[in-house]
Amino acid sequence: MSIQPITFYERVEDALKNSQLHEALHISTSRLISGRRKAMAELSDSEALRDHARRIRAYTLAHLDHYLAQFADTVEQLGGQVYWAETAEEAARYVVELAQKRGVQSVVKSKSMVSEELLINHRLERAGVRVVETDLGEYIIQLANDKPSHIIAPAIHKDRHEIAALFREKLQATPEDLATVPKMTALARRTLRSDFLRADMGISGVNFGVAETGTICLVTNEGNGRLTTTLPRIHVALMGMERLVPTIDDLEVMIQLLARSASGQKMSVYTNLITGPRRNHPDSGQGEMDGPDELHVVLVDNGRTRLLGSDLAEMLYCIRCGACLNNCPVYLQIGGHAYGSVYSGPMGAVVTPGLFGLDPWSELPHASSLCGACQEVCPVHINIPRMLLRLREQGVRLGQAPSWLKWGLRLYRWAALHPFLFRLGSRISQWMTRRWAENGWIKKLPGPLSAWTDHREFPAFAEKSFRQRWQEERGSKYKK
Amino acid sequence: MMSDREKFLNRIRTQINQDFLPEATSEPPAPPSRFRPKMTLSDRIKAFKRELEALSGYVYTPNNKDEILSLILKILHHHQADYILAWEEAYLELSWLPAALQKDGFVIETGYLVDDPFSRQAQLAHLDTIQVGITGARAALSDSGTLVLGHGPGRGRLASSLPPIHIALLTPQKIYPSLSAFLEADPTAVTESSNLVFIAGPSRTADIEMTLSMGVHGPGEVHVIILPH
Repeated sequence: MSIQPITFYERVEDALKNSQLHEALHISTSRLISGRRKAMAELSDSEALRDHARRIRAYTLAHLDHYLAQFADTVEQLGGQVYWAETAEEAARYVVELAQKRGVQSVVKSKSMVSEELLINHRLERAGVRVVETDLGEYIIQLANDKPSHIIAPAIHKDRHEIAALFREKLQATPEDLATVPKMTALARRTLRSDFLRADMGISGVNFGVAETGTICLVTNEGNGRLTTTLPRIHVALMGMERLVPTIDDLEVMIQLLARSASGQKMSVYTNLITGPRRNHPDSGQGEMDGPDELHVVLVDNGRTRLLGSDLAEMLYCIRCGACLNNCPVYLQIGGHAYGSVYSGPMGAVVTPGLFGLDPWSELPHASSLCGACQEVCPVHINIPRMLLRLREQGVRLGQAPSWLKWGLRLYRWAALHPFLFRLGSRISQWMTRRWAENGWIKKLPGPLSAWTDHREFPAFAEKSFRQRWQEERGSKYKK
Repeated sequence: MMSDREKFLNRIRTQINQDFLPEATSEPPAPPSRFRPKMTLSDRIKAFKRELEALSGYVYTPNNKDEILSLILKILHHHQADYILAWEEAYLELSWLPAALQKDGFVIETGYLVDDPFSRQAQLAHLDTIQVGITGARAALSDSGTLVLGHGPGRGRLASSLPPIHIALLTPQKIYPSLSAFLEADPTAVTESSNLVFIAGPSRTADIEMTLSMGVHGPGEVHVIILPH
């Protein structure tokens, strides 16, 4: 995984000061949020469909060995090849060796989150293979030597001026090319088209694999997914092992929910169903017109089995729509990069420690206010807050809680067990917080408590504590 | 020696734990009853047109052969097309169309990709200059303005993905109210060839500041001609 030069908290500090980031995130996510809400409302039976989708995900995972075997058998019967990769390294090595064996010089890629786990671009480039990202957002990220900050809108953190400057520097764009966003898009089309035409290999992700038919479903809006899987002679599909549904009918349910949740569309522009490589149809005496001669499906575990066997298994229901990112108040403030992982936002805060280990990623489960918005918008109702709490608990067990927190909680426990001390403590804090507060809010707390007030205000305690009110209320009742 | 596949599947088998997947059933979950509005043919045509136009697609309902031809010629002239990338006539809903266009001086390519690497490069470079692709349609979905294209011999993927303009010919009886209705009516569509694609409007991106741009990789214009019934 990516080695981050600075700590999580330093990245958060930087992001909180970045007002341009907040502006960019605000513009993009507010559109995605309202689009999703509208598209879901149009479904007459959206709740029933979400529940059904959740049951499909649970059922598939409980029988994953069976359906993966069926999927692989079908892909192979169709003439495709299946490679089983336990780790990201194994998967990447397979792709690099395949490229070398076939004399591949250039590769086009359509957006794939699992490919980020593999660091495949870096590994191919080291082997002397040219790799070009073709999703516009990913292309911008690649030109900027940056990392995606959102699973469906990778360049969400950049505004048009930054992108224009990038195109001027890297693509020698003229002022005319940069006059409007559609013109910038047209420039990207021209540039990327020549890469498509000469590519020897196309690498894609997989939104869903269908076990009964061996079909790979690939969803894009730009059409780069179609060109990536049609023009080059070799198509490599990188697939997280959990991205599977048993039947085409199950796929239909997922397609409905994915497009609506991700971008508020009824259907994505291109929902591409690939069932094996280019075929000869002997009965008609004619072969198919186009499509790749070779199809390689790389099934990637990379920590997923461990997730499956833990009480975070529910996270594998995720269909990668990004709705939980758009609706997360913490993501909106810190953006995707602060998480430091390819998976950000609420889903990333569970997936990242789940796949790559809690030890290096123990801060991520704390990047949440546990407000529950993620669970509410999740198309398959994943209980993300429960898992964030579970991970925090595991972090404490691993001894990752700072010592002041441990001692502080011990002190609190002791005081709370002694009614006199508890009463005294609450009186003192009542008095202190009210003394420091302006209009009910404290702008700055002293000592280690300032960690809270550095970025937000702390409310003064109420004039009367619950205990005081309880006694008064009870007293007045007896009087009646 | 266990194969990679057996090792992979064994690992999964030993890790699957029903306790952590409490909702998982032993049999495939039964789908909920879905609301399927009864729609007449003209309802479906109207809904399809409305939905696709909302996505910036163009929908035409010409009444006869002459209107169809002049419609297509108008689009071709507007884009100063001379070459056309089209499905073979057997797979176009109008088998007379290729001959009629050839008579008007247009050159029609079918886009059968050749094997030889050198010729293929030249072929792709040429196909990439073609402005307009013409295809049939296996079906359409009226609730989302979606075209369904099944590919195979004589019906290439490139005609609807490479040129900047895509014209599709659609028989109105093939307009289904929804994706689920289509899959039920045409169960072999997915497996019959290596590729089936659902196309909802022109290629689009919003990757720069959520500003919509058309035609980033696929066609920026989609014209659907609903044939007279």
